Amino acid sequence: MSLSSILTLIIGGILINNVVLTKFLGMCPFMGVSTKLSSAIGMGLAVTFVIFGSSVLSWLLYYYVLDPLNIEYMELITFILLIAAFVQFVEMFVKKNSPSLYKSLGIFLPLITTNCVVLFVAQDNITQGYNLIETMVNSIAVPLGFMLMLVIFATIRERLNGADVPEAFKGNPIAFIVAAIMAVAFTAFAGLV
Amino acid sequence: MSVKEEKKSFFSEMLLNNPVFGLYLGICSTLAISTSLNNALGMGVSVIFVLVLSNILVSLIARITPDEIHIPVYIVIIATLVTLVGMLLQAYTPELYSTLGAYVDLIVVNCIILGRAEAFACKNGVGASAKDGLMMGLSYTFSLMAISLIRQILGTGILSMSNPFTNAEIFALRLIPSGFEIPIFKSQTGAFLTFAILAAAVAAYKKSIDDKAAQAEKEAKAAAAKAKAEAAKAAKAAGAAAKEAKA
Amino acid sequence: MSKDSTAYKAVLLAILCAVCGLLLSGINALTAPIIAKNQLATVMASLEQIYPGGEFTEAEFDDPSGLIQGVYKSPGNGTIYKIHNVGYNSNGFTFMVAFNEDGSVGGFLPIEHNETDGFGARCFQDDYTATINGLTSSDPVPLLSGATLTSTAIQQGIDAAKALFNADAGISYDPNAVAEPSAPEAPKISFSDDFANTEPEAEEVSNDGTTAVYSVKAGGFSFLNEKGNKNEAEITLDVPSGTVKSVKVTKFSDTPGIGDNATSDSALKAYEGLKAGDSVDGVSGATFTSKSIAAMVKSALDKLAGGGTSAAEKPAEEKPAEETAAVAKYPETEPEVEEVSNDGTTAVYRVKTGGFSFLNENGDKNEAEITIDVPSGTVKSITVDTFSDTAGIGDKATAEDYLKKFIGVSDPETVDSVSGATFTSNSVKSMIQSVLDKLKGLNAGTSAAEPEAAETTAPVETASVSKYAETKPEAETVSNDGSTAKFRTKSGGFSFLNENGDKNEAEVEVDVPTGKVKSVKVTKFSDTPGIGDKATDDSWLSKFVGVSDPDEVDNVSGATFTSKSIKGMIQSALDQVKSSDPAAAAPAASAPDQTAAVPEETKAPEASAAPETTDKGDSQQTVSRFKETEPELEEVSNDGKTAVYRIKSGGFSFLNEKGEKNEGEIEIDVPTRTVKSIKITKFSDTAGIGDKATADDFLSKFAGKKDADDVDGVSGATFTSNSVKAMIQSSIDKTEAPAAALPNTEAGK
Repeated sequence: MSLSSILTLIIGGILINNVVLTKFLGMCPFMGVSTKLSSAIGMGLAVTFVIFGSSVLSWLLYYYVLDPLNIEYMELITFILLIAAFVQFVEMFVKKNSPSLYKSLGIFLPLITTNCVVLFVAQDNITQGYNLIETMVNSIAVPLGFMLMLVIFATIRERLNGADVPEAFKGNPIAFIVAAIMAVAFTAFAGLV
Repeated sequence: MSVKEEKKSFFSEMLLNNPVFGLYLGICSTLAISTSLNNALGMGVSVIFVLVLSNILVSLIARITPDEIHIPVYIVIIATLVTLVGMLLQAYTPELYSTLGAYVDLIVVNCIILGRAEAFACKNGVGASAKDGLMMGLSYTFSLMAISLIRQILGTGILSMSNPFTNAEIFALRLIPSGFEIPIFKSQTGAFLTFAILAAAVAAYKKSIDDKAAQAEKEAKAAAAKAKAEAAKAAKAAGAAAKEAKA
Repeated sequence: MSKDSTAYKAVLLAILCAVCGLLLSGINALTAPIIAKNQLATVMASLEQIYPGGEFTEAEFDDPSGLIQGVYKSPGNGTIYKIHNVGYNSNGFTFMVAFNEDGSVGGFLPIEHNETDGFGARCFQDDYTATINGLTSSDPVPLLSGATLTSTAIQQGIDAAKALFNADAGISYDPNAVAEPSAPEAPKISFSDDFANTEPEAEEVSNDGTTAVYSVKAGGFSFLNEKGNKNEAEITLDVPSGTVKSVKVTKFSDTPGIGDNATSDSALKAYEGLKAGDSVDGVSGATFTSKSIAAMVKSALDKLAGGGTSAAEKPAEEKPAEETAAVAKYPETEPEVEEVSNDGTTAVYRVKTGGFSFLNENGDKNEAEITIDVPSGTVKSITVDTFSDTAGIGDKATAEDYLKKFIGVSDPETVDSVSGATFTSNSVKSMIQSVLDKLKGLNAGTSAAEPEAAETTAPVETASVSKYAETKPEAETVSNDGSTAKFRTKSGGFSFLNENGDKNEAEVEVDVPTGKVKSVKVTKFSDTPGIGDKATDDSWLSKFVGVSDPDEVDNVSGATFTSKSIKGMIQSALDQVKSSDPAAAAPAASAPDQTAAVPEETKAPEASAAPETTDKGDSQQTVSRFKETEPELEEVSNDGKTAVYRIKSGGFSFLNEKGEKNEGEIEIDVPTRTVKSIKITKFSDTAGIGDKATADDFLSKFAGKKDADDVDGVSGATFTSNSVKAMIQSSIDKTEAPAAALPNTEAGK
């Protein structure tokens, strides 16, 4: 595992194959939370933590339990349960240590369970055949890309609130237009590595 | 309610309470696989299947499930159903499965399904839950097809469909001469754009309905006030008449 | 157990999980074998494309690069690697590469890719594919300029496969070798190539006897691929030597940044001093524009040769005379022969001829070295060293055991072609033939021009059909009155030659005394609609009128097969006339026979030559508008006032799904030749879509119309509309014949 391939994974995860813009994953929290910069950062960190923890656990689960037992078809059920349990844990942790963050993330914290990015990363590590180190790198890079988008978006949307957009486009529709333009911008990263 | 009205209300229901355009739920898959009508239908049918069955099962076991573990229980049920759909798709419609790819598994985390289980199925009977699942699934499919239709026609110029089991083409209509397609609609950008415009259209429609309702309410209020005033006047007149008669 | 106790919760979850697990294991047991079979089937289909008919076993492998997805061994053939890598598009692409057991690349097959057309996608197209196919497991993989990302990803993948294969086969190689970046794909362009598809036009600006200036146009990338404009240039030629003095591009229409590499001063300098028949290195990555420029230079040289001074005429004449003679049998392969050595007993030649790739895909020619035993004029050995056709298909005809068959042979025709590799076989045969011809030409003596000139005419007549023999033309005489002969002909086009489909059919009329074509009408078109039918277009067919050799007309680019098929039909008709000429001429010459011929003519009432040709031309035009619907018409009744026809013609279903035609009954008012009524009796297209064009309110629009196109088609039901229109038009046209046959009523007026 060379440094360059780690770098490739990181740049690929954050910029080139940004989950939000290329795979449309995590759109629900993306549209919901990206209205304020502070909650965007909080959400981003929470997601990063959850993804890293749950992906590594899922990887271990897959290669040390499911694979030896030949019950790979239980992958989806076990992964999602593992993620749900892990989220529960983070929720309890945040509630106790940062009530203000808990308040601002509100409903979206339990919804991390249903954040597609979490499940996607856990499964992607398996389908791509990554080893443990690659899994760890990938599980940090992808949610960082997600967080990057959240932050960029939050800042844009703070400005958008003051913009004069057509009535029907107010709120989420204009945000999707912005996402479309961002997607064009991010295609420029293709071929970076 | 006449059939026509019912039809109309079904349609406006589809638009107004649309989980995709109205509530922004389940967008990931909507954007990702809406490149062709075939994908949209395949995904739609899978979601309907999972949604209806999960709603039924959840409403059946809701009463014996303690509150603390209801989320894991629902998730296990949904994940089982999704794995099942995934296996069936992979076995009998391999082509479709390969284009839908990871998004089949991601039905598990489609907010619509867990959302409906939480918000509706656990509080209602089996019949109502099944119907709710079907309605929600249909309006999800409807949204998916709307986006796919636009993206496929503009992006490839061809409207086509094929049999997912045999891969035989059912029909293919070239609507835009080759060379005049707009390939950007095949890309991610196109998905976002199409979605934004459709969501805006739904919002505009919603607003016009709201305005109409507000207008109607206002008129009704005005009419009521007028009627009240008239009644008061009449009462007054009657009172005066009675007084007069008394006098 | 209370509902809130921990034990209850645990048991509930455990039971639920157990139930779900059981259910899934059941379904898994059911679907797993089907899934495995499906996956194998898709892989097998791809594997079969590389090694047809081979047996495959999946092999275990340990790939440090992580790019290789599967390794499949085919005993007796080689090893196939399935590779996935990411190029420009973030979804990546999948391809297969195969190494034969001797280490050469046995195939390069793209499985799935989403690279950009014109850039990354070029890595999966012929030029680059051919380059890869020419490598071995120890060669470095070259990159493709303009598609660096994608070709780098391919390079990485193939390198990974090479590493595995070489380790397996024990081949040592230099993994860090770097290929010359553009050398393998710098296209060699020869002025003897066929540039017809660039449609060059040359115009003489000035010619003072020493220097001639031409203003020329020819199509490049834009013209050929995007319906754009041609490039234009000014070319100055040195008249006495017939060489190029300078090339100046005056209008550049291709892609800036790509094509203009071929218009740079240094690139244009390469043309200076060249003469007809020379070749030049194209600019890699700008093949189209290079060809366009070469085409322009060639057309200027041709123009000079054709209309220039006598000094220029000489070299221009010698060359073609030699070539035509040499290649009478395989002219389409455009052989180029070069003598390497000749010591009087053994002669060695280098030859290039076009095979499948060259003829169909603008690809390169195949090349070989051929050794001839001079005294006996037989082949001693053949080595094909550049193979440009499809690997796994054409290379059957370059396999050693096939090439061996030619040894000792003096006529390549005596060896059968390899089935499935006709093009390459012909290419090989053509190489041999051209070498033998060349040798003969040399042996015949010094006065090369004279005997060859005689030879050129001779083969054309006798071997004329052989030109298109592969289309298996058949001609049947319909009528021959000594002045005009009418034939019903068939010959195979794309469908017949490649898909076991039907032949095309046509009616060809030949003017007997002059042996020239009078008219060509395609009656059955069996090739691909939208592609082949370009060669059944009237505007093209009309070019044959007055022609005595179909080769005088250029093929329709993009419809080569159908073009050849048509030429084959015409050739066969012409041959029939020639062979029956004396017989036909004899009775025609004697006066009484002319009257004797009359009863024969009455059989076919409209056969009197003059009116027939005129109204044939007419009806040809009208029906041709809808000829793709293949209308079949049957007259039910015609009382002189009203004619009733029963007609079938193809709509959406027939044209796109091999379904049935639609059928209808149409009444025509004979005197006015207008539509009286239409009734659709059988509708075969899509219900709910096509039937808009069979609704009464649409059909009623045709009433009283003389021309089906007076009514607009139904939008959304174009195919069915055209089918209906075709029915109507063919009915109207049919009615025309008798109307015109009442010669004096109308003509008199």
